[in-house]
Amino acid sequence: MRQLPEPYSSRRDTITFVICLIFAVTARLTPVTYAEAIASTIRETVLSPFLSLQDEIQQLRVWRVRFEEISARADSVSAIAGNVQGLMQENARLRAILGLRARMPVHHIAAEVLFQTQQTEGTTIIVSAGEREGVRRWAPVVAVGGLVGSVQTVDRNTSVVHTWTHPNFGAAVTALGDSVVGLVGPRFGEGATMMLELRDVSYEGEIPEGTTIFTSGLGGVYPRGIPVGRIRGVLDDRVGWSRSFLVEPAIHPAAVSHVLILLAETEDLSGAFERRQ
Amino acid sequence: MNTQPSGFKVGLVLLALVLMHFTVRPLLGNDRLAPDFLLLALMFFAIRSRPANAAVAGFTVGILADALSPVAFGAGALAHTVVGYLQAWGKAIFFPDNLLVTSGFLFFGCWLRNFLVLLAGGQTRGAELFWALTAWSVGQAITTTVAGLLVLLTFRRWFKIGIIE
Repeated sequence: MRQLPEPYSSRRDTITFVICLIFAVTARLTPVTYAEAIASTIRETVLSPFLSLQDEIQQLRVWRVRFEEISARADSVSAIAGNVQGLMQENARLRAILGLRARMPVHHIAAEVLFQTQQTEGTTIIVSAGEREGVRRWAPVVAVGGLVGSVQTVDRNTSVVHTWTHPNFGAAVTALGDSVVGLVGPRFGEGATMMLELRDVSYEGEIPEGTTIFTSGLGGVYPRGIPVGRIRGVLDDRVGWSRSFLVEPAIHPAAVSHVLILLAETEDLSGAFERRQ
Repeated sequence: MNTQPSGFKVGLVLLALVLMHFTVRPLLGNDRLAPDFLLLALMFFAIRSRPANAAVAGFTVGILADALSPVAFGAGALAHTVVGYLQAWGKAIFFPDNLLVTSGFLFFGCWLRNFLVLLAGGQTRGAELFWALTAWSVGQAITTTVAGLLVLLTFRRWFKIGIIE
């Protein structure tokens, strides 16, 4: 065992530890707006070179995928497709996002999802586009398949996106044309992991299982026509004159590697997403 | 960090771990299972430091982690401060120069960090919390420990770690 300095754990150590704990608790109790400002400052200063480095690595990853795609074409893709399944999936995702970009009728920017660090951040993601690219707060964020969430904090080069899993998420939606309207939000409680709940639907509103629900454009944040999820059944908790439905989300935040951030306001995105029901 | 002759070399290893956190880790797949190199650097630092220094380092690392996941700002600072302090304090009781004991330190430290982050974050409840603690956190603790062992075995002389016969 290594010789340790004596006394090893002094009063100074304890006091320093307690001071750090007090600072940490204070940070935890700091109002969200101040906490976001502090976090944003840290990201733009201390973490900026690291995030830039990470962005470069992500770019290298994309270039590698493209390079592999070209090489695979040259060498006959069929022979090696079985060995590059992961790359093929990444290619498919990139091609899909390119297809969505082509169909998107509004000014937007593509961004990469930067990595997650802690266990709690299923509710937020950080993307590689910020103030410099024209991103603004509350800008809708979509991916191939549907709605991801909206921009909450904008830094110079990055932005924090609140996904639909965030407790504050809510969107006005419609289904079956405009015959059914309601509000959708994350579902909480036992066994409710990663599901959405469609609330405030008229008691007479019937929605068959498998029906896709879309944003209705009401509320001013999300334009009309973005897929949110598919109905998976009626929930038991019928209250008053409304009923609720369980919704399987169209997008799982953990599976998203690239997103589109809508930069200009628009009313209708119908037609931009495939397989509209 | 202490002023042993290997201190500078260990510092380089810690710096490399910090860089790996932002370069290698994103390439390792699932974020919740990938080894946390930043935490690894903190724990290696803490095992070789006084509790006060380890607590300050833990707070610093935690705030940086919080900046990358602001939904529970402060939770990471709290968790990393406690883990850093306990790691430094624990070496007075156990035998940190032993590879197996160090593995236990790394595993417990990673799991405890995740537990405290989830607890202080307050965003995860019920079945989701259960799975986060028993599956994801244990998985990340294992991968982080394995990564830590690889670092220790590679730089064993610098870290002055022994192996039980």
